[in-house]
Parts: sequence; structure tokens; C-alpha cells
Amino acid sequence: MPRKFLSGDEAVAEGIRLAQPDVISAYPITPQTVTVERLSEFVANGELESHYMYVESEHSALAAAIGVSAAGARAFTATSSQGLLYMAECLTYASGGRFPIVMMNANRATALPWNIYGDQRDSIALLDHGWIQAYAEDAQEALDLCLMAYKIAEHPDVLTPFMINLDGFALTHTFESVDVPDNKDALDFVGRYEAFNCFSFDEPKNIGYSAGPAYNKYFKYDEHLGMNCALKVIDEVERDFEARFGRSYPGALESYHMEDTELCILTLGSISGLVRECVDIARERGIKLGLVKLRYLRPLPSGQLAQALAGIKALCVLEKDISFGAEGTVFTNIKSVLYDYKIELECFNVIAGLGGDDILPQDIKQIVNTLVDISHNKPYKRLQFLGIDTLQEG
Amino acid sequence: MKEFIWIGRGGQGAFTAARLLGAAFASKPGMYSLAFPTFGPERRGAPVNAYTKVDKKKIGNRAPSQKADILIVLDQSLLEHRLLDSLKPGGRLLLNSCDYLSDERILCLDAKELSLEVLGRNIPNTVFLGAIAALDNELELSDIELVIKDLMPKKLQAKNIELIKKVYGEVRGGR
Amino acid sequence: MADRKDVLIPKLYDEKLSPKDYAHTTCFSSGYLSQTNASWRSERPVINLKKCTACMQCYMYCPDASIYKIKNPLEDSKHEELVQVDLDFCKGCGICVEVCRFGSIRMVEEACEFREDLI
Repeated sequence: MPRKFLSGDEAVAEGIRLAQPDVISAYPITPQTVTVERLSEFVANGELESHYMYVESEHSALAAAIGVSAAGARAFTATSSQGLLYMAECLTYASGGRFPIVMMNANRATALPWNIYGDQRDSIALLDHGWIQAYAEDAQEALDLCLMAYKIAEHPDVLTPFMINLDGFALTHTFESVDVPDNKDALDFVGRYEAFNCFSFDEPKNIGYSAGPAYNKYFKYDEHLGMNCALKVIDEVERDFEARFGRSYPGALESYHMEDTELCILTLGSISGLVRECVDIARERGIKLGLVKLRYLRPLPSGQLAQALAGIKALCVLEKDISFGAEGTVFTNIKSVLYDYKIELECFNVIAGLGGDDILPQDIKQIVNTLVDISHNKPYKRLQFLGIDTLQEG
Repeated sequence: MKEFIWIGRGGQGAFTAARLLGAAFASKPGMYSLAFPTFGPERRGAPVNAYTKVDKKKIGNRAPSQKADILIVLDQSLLEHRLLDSLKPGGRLLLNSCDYLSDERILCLDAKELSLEVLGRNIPNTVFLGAIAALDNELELSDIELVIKDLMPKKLQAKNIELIKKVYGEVRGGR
Repeated sequence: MADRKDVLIPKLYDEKLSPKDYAHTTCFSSGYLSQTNASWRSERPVINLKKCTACMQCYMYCPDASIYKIKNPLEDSKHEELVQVDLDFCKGCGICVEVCRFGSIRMVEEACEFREDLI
């Protein structure tokens, strides 16, 4: 497996090249542009036998992908923030229609004020639209997710479109070493798309119809089941991946140093790397800190979360989004799980990184101090905006 | 963790150099690196900062480095006194200049003249890759050669390798 | 140099603003939030006031509205007004040099002299 020095965007381009989609329809938007540029180069120079379709907007990009999928072919698109919101109406066509489209979303702040830098408001605001949502920590995971995404999405029990999220700039434009699998090995793993909910001359179908009050709920129920099924399929696909490529992934969430922990930071995306380093430093200083990295936000891995958080005294959910007038959406999701499983612990929400704001080791240290304080029964604020409510050092 | 900060203007190759340096270190067994630019208006002439972080374990901190082991200033017009405060203890500032500065932390290299002489064009960035190989105790000239052969267009490789060897010799030769 | 408040370009304000002052909407008085926007200039125009005929072509053509009128500072009063470049916003595009029919403007490199005062 050759090692290349690639940015997150380039790693996704390689991953998608290996998955061999039949049609790529995408509209460029910072910070996703490098991915689609590389893919168009692969198509132009023959490295990827695919049709690169020029579209006039993101809405058209996803509409085209839906058409491609309905024709029984493998589709790919990519976007970010305003582009994702522009295609938002198509998201439910894709998920409701059970079209296993894979989309890369470069997480970027949403306007106004206008901002091109990374935060997670775009995808997290659209959690309810029926797409599987995975969050990559580094370029290697981003590439690997491209291969696993098609396998998971296209599984007949799942049949759900898949959104791979990469933090804008911190991951999309940062270069690191990536192992790029061999073309043949990768295609053997992903396989070819075998669709049944697609147009056919031999067996004519009705596709994309309406369903009134008497029937609609059955479709939505099946969609919900399909999403839930994904949890089991994710595990199976990851085991297959490990057997072939030697890299193991721990399912919808990763627990780091959670065996004997009282304090926990839960987060998602590239910031997990920094938290991981801070966990190591805290442990050296005798603080029992652990990290839960949420790899998949949808489906929500409730059971795994409950298991991971069972013995915890104090939890911080660190996320790069805010549901205005309420709290961070990841926090809301986590608290729901805690309640369901009757897990009692103290927890608070830190909203950080908005608009591409840097999160520094000092900031994580501040969170750790708060966790330690909480374990000593000191009072704390439930919702904190980093750098505003809390003291941002440096 | 070793941190290199590159300061230049768009078009001078600050980020390309940061990336090549990152790739050079990452090609060594057991080494990890991250390379990235600051993300501002992308056009020629705009100041660009780029960063290379290198360590013997995977690097989790993706924020721009606040202090550098080596700070490279590719354009003299961007030199400011406060940049010296961004050096770690023992750090060096490499400056693209034909002048000599008395501060022992600063090493001046006339990258314009050197690159014009060998490459035939005023492209200052690879000059400093040669300099870093000479100053760093882990990075070798062969590591830079490897990434030049891997990542640069074929027609530029030979001259750039000649250039880094020349600079390496000059810097090693006692600056 | 003419006082900036005499001409129709935003005055720059030094006051330090707190987010409480500006972050309520994305609408705020000019001169506070965009202090300068010239960092990507690598060459700057220099106007030879003696050769300048006050034809105002550069003033009209500057795409950035960074050339403004000033009272003629020279003794000779052939022209009441001449022009000046606002270096806080000039991007160094060189269009002024292109449109000047009298060769009164030339571009010089930003780093044309080593700035010893900085070290």
C-alpha cells in the first residue's frame, strides 16, 4: 500500500477514485474544491472511469445524483455549508427514496456573517434528514470512510445515503501521511452496486411516488429501521475492512482510556486528535480522563454510548455547533441517551471552534480543570461558549 | 514536536515548501508530520503563513503553531521585530535577504541570487529546504531529494536538487 | 498628506471595539471593522506630482476607489487639485499606471528598500 502525503480533500478524492462511482456530479465550494478538482483530473486522465457531470448548482448536483442512483448506478457528490443547505430539499428525496448516494461534506460555517472556515453547523443542522453521518478525525479515516460508506449505504438492509464529514481546513487542507489501498483490493472490498430500486426496462417500476396519510408512516418507519440497521452493518463492514487492509475501526464510537475513568470529554471530528493528546498529558499528571470520539452521529449509537459513559462522574460535550435558543445538538442527543439508560452524571456543553476559531491545548486544559472541579462538587455552567463565557487563554 | 513556520507572499511557494518539508520528514520511518497553510484570500501577493509540524508520534494539534523551532521569512518586506518573539528557545529565523544581520538567531540567505543562478528564476522556497536539512539534526539532504523526485514535476527536479545541495554546503560550511 | 476626513473615503477609527458593540447584526459604521486591506500589495504606485496633469483618469479608473483628490501642494497653481493614493486600501493592481497618458505614475516594489527600522 503506497504511502502518500495528502490533504483530507485529496484523501477523499483517492478514496472515491477507488470506489469507482459511475457518475460524479458536484459543484465546487470552498473547502471541498480540491476533492472535486482531483476527481475531475482522475476522470480526464483515465485513472477513473466515471462520468464527471457539470452541474449549475449544489441543488442540481444532488438532484443529478438521485437520478443516477435511480438508474441503478453508483453516485457521488460533495459540498459544504451553504451548498449543503442549497441542496437541503434534495436530501430527503435521497433518503426517503432510499438511494445509497455517498456525499462528502466539508464542514464549514454557515452565513451570516459570511465565513469560509470550519465548524460543524452545516451538517449537524441537518441531522434529521435521514442521512448516515460520519465524522472523520484524519485524512486516513476520511479515505477509509469513502470505501466503507458505499458498502454500508448499499447494504440491502440499510439503503440509506451516507454523508462523510471532514472539518474544513483543519482536515480538508492539512497534509499528512495516508496509505492508499491498491485499486483491485479496494474494488474487491467495495464491490459493484447492485440496485433493485431503480428503473428497469425488463421489470418496469414506479419510482419516487407520493404516499398519503394512510401509507406515509410505513415508509418513514422503514427508513428509521434502515438507519438503525446501519449500526450492525457498520461493525460488519469494519471487520471486513480490517481483514483486508489491516486497519481496525471501533464502530460508531471510539473509547480512549475509558476503562478506569471518572472524567470524560466527548467530541467528534478532527478536534479528537488534540483531545487525545490532552488525555495522555492529563493521565501523566494523574488525572483520570478519557475521550469518547463519536464517529457516527446518525445513526446514534445509544447502546455503545451508554456503555462507554456508565461509570463517569463528569462529562464535557465539546462541539462546533449551536442550536440557537437551545444548546449544542450533540449535547441534546447525548443527554437523551443518558436519560434513557438512567445514567446519572454531571455534564456540560462547550461550544467551540465556531467560524474556524482555533481550539488550543490551553482550552482543553480549561475544560479538564472544570471537569476536575465538578468531580469535587463545585458549581458549573451548563452551556459555555469557548472564549466568551469561559476564559480563553492565549 | 518540531515546528516550522513559513512566512511569504502568495506565489513565493511558502506552502509548497511547508508541504515538501512535511513530506520529507514523514517519509522517514517512525515520523509523522502535518503541513498546512493559513487560509486567507488566495491570490498572488497576499501574505501567506504555512506550517510544518513534525513528531515521532501522530500529531493531534492542528492549530497553527504559535512558536517555531525554525521561522522562514521568504519576503523581506514581511520581516518584523516581533517575529523573533515567535522563536522557541534556541530557534532560528531564516531570512531571504542579501543583507547581514547581527542577531545570531537570524541566518540570511540570498535566495533570490541563489535561485536565479541555479534555477534561472527567482523562486526562493527550495533554497530554505536545503538550509533546514543543514541545520536540522534529523533531516537529511537525501530526504529532501526523495520528495523533490516524488512531488515536483520532472523537468524541475535536477536543478532543484542541485540548488539544495549548494545551499546545504554553504550553510554547513559555517554560517 | 491631505487629511482623510476632507475626502469621501472612510475615516479609520482607532477605538477598540468590544463584540458587544458590533456583533448584534452584520451591519456597522464604516471605518471600524475594515481598517485596512492592502496586505496583498507587492508593488505600489508612486505619483510624480510635477508631471501630473490632473486629468483624473487614474481617479476614475481605480477599481478600488483608492485614488483621491487633494489640494495641489506644489507652489505652481496650474492645477487646483491633484491626486493621491490611499495606501491603506491600494491593492497594487497597476491600472492607474496603464491609464495615465502622461507617464506620471510608476510602480515600485513594496520591499524596495530593506527596512532597518524593523530590526
